[in-house]
Amino acid sequence: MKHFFTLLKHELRSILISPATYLAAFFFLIVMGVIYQLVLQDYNKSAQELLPNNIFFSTFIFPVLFLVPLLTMRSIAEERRLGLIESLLTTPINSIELVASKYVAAYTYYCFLCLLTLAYPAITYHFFPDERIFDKATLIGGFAIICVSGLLYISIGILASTLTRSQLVAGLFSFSMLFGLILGVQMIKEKADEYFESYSIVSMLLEYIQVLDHIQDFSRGVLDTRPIVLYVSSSFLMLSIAVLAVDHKR
Amino acid sequence: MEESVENSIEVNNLTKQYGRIMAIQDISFSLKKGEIVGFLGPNGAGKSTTMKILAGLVPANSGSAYICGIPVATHPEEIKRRIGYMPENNPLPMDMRVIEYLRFRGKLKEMSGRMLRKRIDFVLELCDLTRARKRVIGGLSKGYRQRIGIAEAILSEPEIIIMDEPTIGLDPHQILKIRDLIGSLKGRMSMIISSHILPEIELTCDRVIIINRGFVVASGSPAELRKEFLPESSFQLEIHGTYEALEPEIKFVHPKLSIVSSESFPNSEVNQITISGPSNQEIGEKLIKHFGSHSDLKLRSIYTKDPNLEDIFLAATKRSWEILSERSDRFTASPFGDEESLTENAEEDE
Repeated sequence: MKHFFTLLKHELRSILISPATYLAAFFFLIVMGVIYQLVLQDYNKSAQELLPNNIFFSTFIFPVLFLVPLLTMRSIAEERRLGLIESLLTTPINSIELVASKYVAAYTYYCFLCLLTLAYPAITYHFFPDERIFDKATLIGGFAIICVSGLLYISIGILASTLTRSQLVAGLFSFSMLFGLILGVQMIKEKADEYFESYSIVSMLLEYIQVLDHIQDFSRGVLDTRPIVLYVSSSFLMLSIAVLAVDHKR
Repeated sequence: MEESVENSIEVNNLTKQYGRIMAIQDISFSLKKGEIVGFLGPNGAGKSTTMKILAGLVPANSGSAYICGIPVATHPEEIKRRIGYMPENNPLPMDMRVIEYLRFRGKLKEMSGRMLRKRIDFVLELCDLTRARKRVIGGLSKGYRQRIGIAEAILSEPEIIIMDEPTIGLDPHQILKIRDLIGSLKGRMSMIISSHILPEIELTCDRVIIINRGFVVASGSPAELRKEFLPESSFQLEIHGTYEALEPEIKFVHPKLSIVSSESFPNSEVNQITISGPSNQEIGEKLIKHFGSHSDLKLRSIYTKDPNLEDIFLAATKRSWEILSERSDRFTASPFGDEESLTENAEEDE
């Protein structure tokens, strides 16, 4: 991994100098700000079972569906189309370093964007110093699951980007995979519950990969290691396939 | 292996197939240390494929390639430390500054900080890029970009440089500069250059390899190829006198001489003729002697027209097409029965 840091520095630099980065951040923060404001309004109207942060974190899944494909679709697909990947691979780097650097750069930017939303509870707490607004356990748990599940989301995006030269196809492919993972599994689970007993292997397996349940647990402050193992191992799998795809599609 | 270390590049029976289409077949050649070799061939002949295999970018289906005695297939990372490769169309990141790009590539090529700074200054100077060092690549003209590609290829002082069409899209002035640049590297590095601009290759390269439809059809110095493919030499003469009287006189000088073309200037009796015959230094001398003492026909000028690389290239590819079509007639199932464009597409698709 001699060249990893050179490549990572290069990737981060190109993220930082691109105006698209700042525009994406601007729109993402506007959308999340509006959502947070709606959550607070609801909380104001009637008594709620959950803290505002719990509800806020479970809505995170929707911008992720759009944000991740947009962040990752360019990385390898566009560079391959322009011939830059080929040119990079004539230096003594290997495809693991290449994929890893793209992945870490996109993941860093993803986490940075998500952590920026910490500003909303912080600002609200500044004006309304209520413990429920800035509950540390929910914030730590919520951001932990967003960052950990991001490992898998970004790896799916990177994988999609290695499979094609077209940004559009890469974006749509990662969107569909994420949609399937986040909402498709939920739908299959509901259907499967009708046919299988609640402790059968199928329903336990489907329950294990329920992204929305993980968010609920973590944002209540329950740090479970099982989802962490799931996200880390499956992102390794996705990245391994991405490395094979880069090697194969030279 | 002993043998191959003497050669910078050694290629034995290399074959590459894209699906059903053969890009190259049974290609063998070698490059000595410090030698500059031109790689010629029509579009879709397999030039870029061969270069990509040498650079470790694509694997071959069969055969072997060695860079400085190291097999490319099993040690791709090792050989990448020894080559500088400039791909076709020279892709560059448009959002970087020239100096940033060279620094980035230098680091990837494992150059140390001090060494890198020194080399960057050197290649910027050599490629006449010093004034553009702080400019963003996207804002530079094609000529500048080509020179950045060359600067990058020679940055780490590799033993071998592989350049795929380095002079494409340049104006004559820039081509001249790049020719000087390549000439200045002669002897220091081995180089393999593919180009369509044949005078370039003839002037800068020690040896030429011509491939067509995936086969090596000719290999040798321009002089050797001239002897092999166009052994006849031709002369252009300007003679004052009647055209009718000319032919028997020429036959008199040498029976094998014949008039290839002729042109007469209006309102005068001056004829410009091109004649061809066996390659023989004495023929010129005989022509001058004969017409110099002739009473009716006066020689105004004479010069030898040596076939240039362009003629050799056309003759060699034409001959290979004839051989190939004979082959495909004999074996109707041969994959070369396909249209030429198929091979071309294969390369583009790749």
